[in-house]
Amino acid sequence: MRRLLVVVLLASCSTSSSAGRDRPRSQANGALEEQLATQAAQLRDATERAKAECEPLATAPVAADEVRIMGTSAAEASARRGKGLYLDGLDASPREVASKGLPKGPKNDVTAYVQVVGAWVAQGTSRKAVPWAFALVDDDDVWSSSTMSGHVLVSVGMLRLVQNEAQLAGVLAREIALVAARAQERQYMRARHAACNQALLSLYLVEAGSSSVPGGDTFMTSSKFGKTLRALAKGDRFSTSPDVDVEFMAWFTNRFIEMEKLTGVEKEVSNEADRAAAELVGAAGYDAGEYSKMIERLPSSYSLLDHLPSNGTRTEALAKLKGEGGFGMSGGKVPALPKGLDMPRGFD
Amino acid sequence: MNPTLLLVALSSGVAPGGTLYVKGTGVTMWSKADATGTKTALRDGDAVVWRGADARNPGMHAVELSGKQGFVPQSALTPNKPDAADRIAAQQPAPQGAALVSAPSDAQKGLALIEAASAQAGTRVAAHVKQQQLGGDK
Repeated sequence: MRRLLVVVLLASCSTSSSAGRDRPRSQANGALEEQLATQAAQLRDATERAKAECEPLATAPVAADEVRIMGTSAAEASARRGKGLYLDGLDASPREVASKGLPKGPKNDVTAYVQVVGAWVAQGTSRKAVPWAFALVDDDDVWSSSTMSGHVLVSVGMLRLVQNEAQLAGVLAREIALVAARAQERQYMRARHAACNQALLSLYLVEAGSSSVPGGDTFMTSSKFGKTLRALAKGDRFSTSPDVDVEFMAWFTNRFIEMEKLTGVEKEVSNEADRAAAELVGAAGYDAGEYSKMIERLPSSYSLLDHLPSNGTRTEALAKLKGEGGFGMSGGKVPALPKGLDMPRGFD
Repeated sequence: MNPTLLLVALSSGVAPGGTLYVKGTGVTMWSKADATGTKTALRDGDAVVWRGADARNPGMHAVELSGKQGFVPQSALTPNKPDAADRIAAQQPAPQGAALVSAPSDAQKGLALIEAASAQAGTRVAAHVKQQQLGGDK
């Protein structure tokens, strides 16, 4: 009996002692839960606000000035590869070059030749208003790239693989075809939309707790992130809005585009570019078969790095297209590269 | 079917009977495939029905415009319809650092030269096409 009483007392003590400790813990849990609920609500609210404000950017066409400025910014990034642009100096005046062409020089002459071939091939596109600009980049790696502003850049490494003018036309035609299909514009729109969501989400999260975040108020008033993208989402003009920080925007969206490039150009876009390139080569009077030969000359690593189908798979698809007898697939010419030009020599 | 081959199946090009567009100015449609006979002036962007390449002169292609048949060089035709509403206006000023805050870098200076030279290259296209005999009848 006495034993039972002790057990009950102990149990009762234990119970009361346990209840005494749980009161503050329960209060703490409640406060924590409340804090978490508040933060979850803030996150939800910030996400929804960012999503709603950025939604127009998912479908809004890229304005002409935005195409020029952002496209040129992307071209500058490519122009910095290797040793930079393949030119004999930068001292010439653009105004003089616009009327007389590049000053004579071994690199300038080759660049001028590539520009004439590019301008000729580009006449076959639907987009005659694009101010096409063709450049060589002094880089031994094999690559070519283009931007939504009509800049087409080809590495010297790629030029070394070219055996005749029809093959050069093929390299340029593929980039021209990508610009004509607005492939880079769509890529930029996706990057711009993703950047907006990221930026405004961060902005609204800081805004929600800015009074308790050290420096939060300063961030709110000077944030390039939010200001720029909020202005764009509202439809402000890219080149005139005081809230749009062009350099920041170029840097930020280029990071997103670089991330996208890790997964490569969409396969369907790439395949369509091959077809369109072959047609452009033919429409310029060249033998479209040389485009296939150029693809065969690309190192096998080229397709891997750019996440393209293998060279063999691409040429098989082009051979099938040629077999169908479509326009431009046969009957063209294969002009030699002009004599007297100091073309970069191959490694073989 | 091999899934890789299915993935890269290219959409078909323009087949005989399809539409092509005249590109460039001063394009002539000849009544004969050897660029002789009567001439019809075509305008940039004219839509023609493509009948195929001539067997003897594969650089010349049989076309039909408003019921009239003739031959034009391959290089005067394109499958791409001109986009009259293109948004990149040619008169858009090239940035050349103007829209950017900091001083132009070498890449920016170089691109300004490239843009100027590319615009000038357009004036040399006709001579190049003639030199390389890409124009068919020209």
